Amino acid sequence: MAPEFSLHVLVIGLRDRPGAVHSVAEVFSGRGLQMEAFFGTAGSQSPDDSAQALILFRAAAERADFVARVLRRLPAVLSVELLAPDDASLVHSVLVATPVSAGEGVSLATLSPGVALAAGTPAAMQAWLAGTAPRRLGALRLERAG
Amino acid sequence: MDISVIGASGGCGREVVTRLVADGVLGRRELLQLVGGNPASSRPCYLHGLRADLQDACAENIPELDVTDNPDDIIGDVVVMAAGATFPTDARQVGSLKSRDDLARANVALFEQFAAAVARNRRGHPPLVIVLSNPVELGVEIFSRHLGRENVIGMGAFSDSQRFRWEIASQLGLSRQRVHASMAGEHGLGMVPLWSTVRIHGLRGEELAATVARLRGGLALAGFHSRLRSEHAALIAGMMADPVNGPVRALDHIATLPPDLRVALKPFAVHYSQAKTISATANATVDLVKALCEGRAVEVCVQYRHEGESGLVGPVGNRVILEGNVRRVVPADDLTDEELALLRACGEQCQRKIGEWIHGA
Repeated sequence: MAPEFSLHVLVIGLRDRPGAVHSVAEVFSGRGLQMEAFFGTAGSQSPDDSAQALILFRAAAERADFVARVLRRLPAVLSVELLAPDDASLVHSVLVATPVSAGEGVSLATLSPGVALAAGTPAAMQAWLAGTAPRRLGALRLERAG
Repeated sequence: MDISVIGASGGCGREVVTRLVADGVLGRRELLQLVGGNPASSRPCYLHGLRADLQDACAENIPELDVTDNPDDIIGDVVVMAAGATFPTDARQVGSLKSRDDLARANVALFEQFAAAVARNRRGHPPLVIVLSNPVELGVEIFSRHLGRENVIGMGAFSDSQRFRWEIASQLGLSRQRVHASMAGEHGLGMVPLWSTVRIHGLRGEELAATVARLRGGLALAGFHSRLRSEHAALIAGMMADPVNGPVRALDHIATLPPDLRVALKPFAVHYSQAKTISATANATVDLVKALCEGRAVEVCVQYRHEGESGLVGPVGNRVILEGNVRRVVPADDLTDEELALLRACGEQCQRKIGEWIHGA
């Protein structure tokens, strides 16, 4: 069985222009890397008018670092941060069916009868989802707080 | 695939960059990195201007172009090393030229700086480094020490082999594609013509042997280097005596010599004509990069640091199989004993020189 590489999160500041996301995606696809999650916003959708992409992916640490270095050289990219999945500024969230019990580092907020929002760092959420196996009502979202 | 060209503002580096873009070697989302070879350059804006000019010229299909002067920013899967000091091109200075030793000592620190930077950031996944700068054997040695020898090749023998193929082909009225031949050894007066490797499309057996004998014009391998040295000395003297028209006269004379001598001597005359050998070197480099980008396994004659293969030691031009990086050295069983002995002697001489250059720097 192939080893499972560790999770990484890239927080990428982008130039707010067409094709920027394409450039970023090419760095991954050209290296055979799969994004486990991609969340992108144009400037008009962000609180500070900046275009941003958050990418969750698995890779060996050295490879992840190299991907970050390549991304930094792209004309469409303004900034790149490579974060660990337990970085406290990252919020991974998903709607789940209740009743369900919270796990370590995972917060639950009831939104309506039978529906709660679970949130935590990607590391905490991955562990909770694997262990508790709640019924998910949507796809996971990834954001950076602050 | 991403490509970094170190020394992209130099004559050869710029030509390589221009050809890579104009030939569409890279896709629109692949990265071509223009790396300045001299952080203290008097033209710090040059590469930014070159990038804008290339975008204007080739907007239909242009890769991402990145500019940096920082060796730590190098991210190419293939790194072309074209930076470094070179000989002046003015034939009036031909008599007061810096020696190859001076050139080597001038470039040791530069090779070391870039090799260390690439190794520092890419230890686990080193790129393939193609050394164009001279002395190419020195560049191959230093980059090999940092990145592993299988990841470093020198273009000198590849360019010389391309020239060798052309000199044979042109004499027979053929196109270069129909001739295969390798020029090994040192990129300079220590080159070794491997006549045993000559293959001419449509010729076999006795017909091939007779054609090769005719091409060689009676110049045996045993006499090749002494004849080359005397021709080289005469060529330099001629260009010193007449710096304006000397290079053209030299080219005229060189055209009367056998192909192996033409390969070794013509670049000197071309260089001092002030045209330099930029186009041939860049074309050979881009050809090789294309093969790498297409993932093809190719047999090429390049400078490679040997560790005993075919009895060779050190960075010397020889045939290798390239598939992403150097997979293996081509066995020398088709070479004559004389060719192999000359190659071994050349390798030992290169080793000695490199030791002096590195320790004398």
